[in-house]
Amino acid sequence: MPICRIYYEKKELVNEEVLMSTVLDLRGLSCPQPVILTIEEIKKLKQGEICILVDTDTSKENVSRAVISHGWTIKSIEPEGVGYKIIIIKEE
Amino acid sequence: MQKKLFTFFATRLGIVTVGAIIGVLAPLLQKLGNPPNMGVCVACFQRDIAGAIGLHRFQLAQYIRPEIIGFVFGSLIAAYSYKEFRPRTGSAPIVRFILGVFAMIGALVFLGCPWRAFLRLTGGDGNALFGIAGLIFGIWIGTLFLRAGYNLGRSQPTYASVGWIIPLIMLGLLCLVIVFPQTPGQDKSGILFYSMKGPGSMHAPLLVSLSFSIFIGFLAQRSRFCTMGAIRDFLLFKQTHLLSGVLALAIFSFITNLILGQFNPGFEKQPIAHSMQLWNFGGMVLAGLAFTLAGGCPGRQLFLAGEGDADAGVFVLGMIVGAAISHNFSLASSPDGIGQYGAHAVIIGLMVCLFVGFTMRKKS
Repeated sequence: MPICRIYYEKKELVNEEVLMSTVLDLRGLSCPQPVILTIEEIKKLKQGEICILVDTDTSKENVSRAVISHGWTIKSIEPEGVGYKIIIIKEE
Repeated sequence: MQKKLFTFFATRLGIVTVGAIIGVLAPLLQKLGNPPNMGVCVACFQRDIAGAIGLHRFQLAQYIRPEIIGFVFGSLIAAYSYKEFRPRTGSAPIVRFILGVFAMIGALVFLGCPWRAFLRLTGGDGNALFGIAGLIFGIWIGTLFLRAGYNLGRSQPTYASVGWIIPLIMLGLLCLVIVFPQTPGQDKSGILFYSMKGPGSMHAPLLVSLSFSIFIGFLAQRSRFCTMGAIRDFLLFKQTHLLSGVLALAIFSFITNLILGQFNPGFEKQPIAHSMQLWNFGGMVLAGLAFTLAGGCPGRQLFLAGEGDADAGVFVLGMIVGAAISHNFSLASSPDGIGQYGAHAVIIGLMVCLFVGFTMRKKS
């Protein structure tokens, strides 16, 4: 299991709306780890919804750029703690 | 959504604009007094700072470079202006220190950081081609480790004061320059050493250097400008975002050098450069690998330190100490060629980086 993979049991990190989605906790990781791990997850899931947690604006931008270039859509970006919660989706 | 997602500086036009501005300002700083093909060089300028405070006593490289101070200040101002100041630390700081030491040792075998490699090339110095090739090769080795799960671990949020340490050190250095300004004809003023000749004696007026570099630091923090990242992202993801900024730097620096009469093509007798191509290449392989393992080029590490990343600050301190080691142990090159033990240091440095790369991996 990747070190950054957590699941919905950790409710302090994730609110109700993303209970059923995969959560990628990329907080505290330096460049380019957030992008590498996001792409790994995207390739693994192929479709669905992923909740990504990042702690810097740089990671937010880099992850968003990678997600879009892989054909996924950014559903929402909201502040979460000191960073952001990014929800990305790809439907069939 | 995409338009709202990215600020101007996060767009392609934004990064190209920042690269172009640096490409114009760096040769301009050279015209205003900075050393030839060294309008801005993060490695050389940190080496000068190490000399100014007596960490090494190489007399041609002693000056508190305001550019280094300005880069951190500019980034700090940008980070606070846009609520991006995030104090953080704890991602293997001692490893980052060692990577900083060897990054500097490698850069001083080539004689320049990645910024200067491009400034040297666009000033006509063909030797820089070997340095840039080495840089790309070193970064490529780094990407192999990244693909294999190399990871220095997570940083943690911390006290704001931790993020302020490097900016405060820079403020301290600026205070030293104000309290002990250069005295004409003297190689020492109070506790600071000043070069009487050589690159350390050549500098643009303090306020010009400081204001230009604060401006560059501000823009670079906003755009995440990174020369190593540019090459790394292209090799890893075929992504050209950062690369377009570096290419803009090179193109605009070339044009500015032409306009200012600073373009002198050739390989021999290039300023503050040598023609031992194997070691121009080898030095930058080491530097490129160390930058990749540490997650940023020397400029980017300064900008990260300015926005609260204390681990990047440790890398910066490692580079300054690395400069002292380079000159005290005769590792640094000169226009005559590499230092007595420069080649040995590059090989040891590569072994240390490989040790870091192979042993610090987490994979599912």
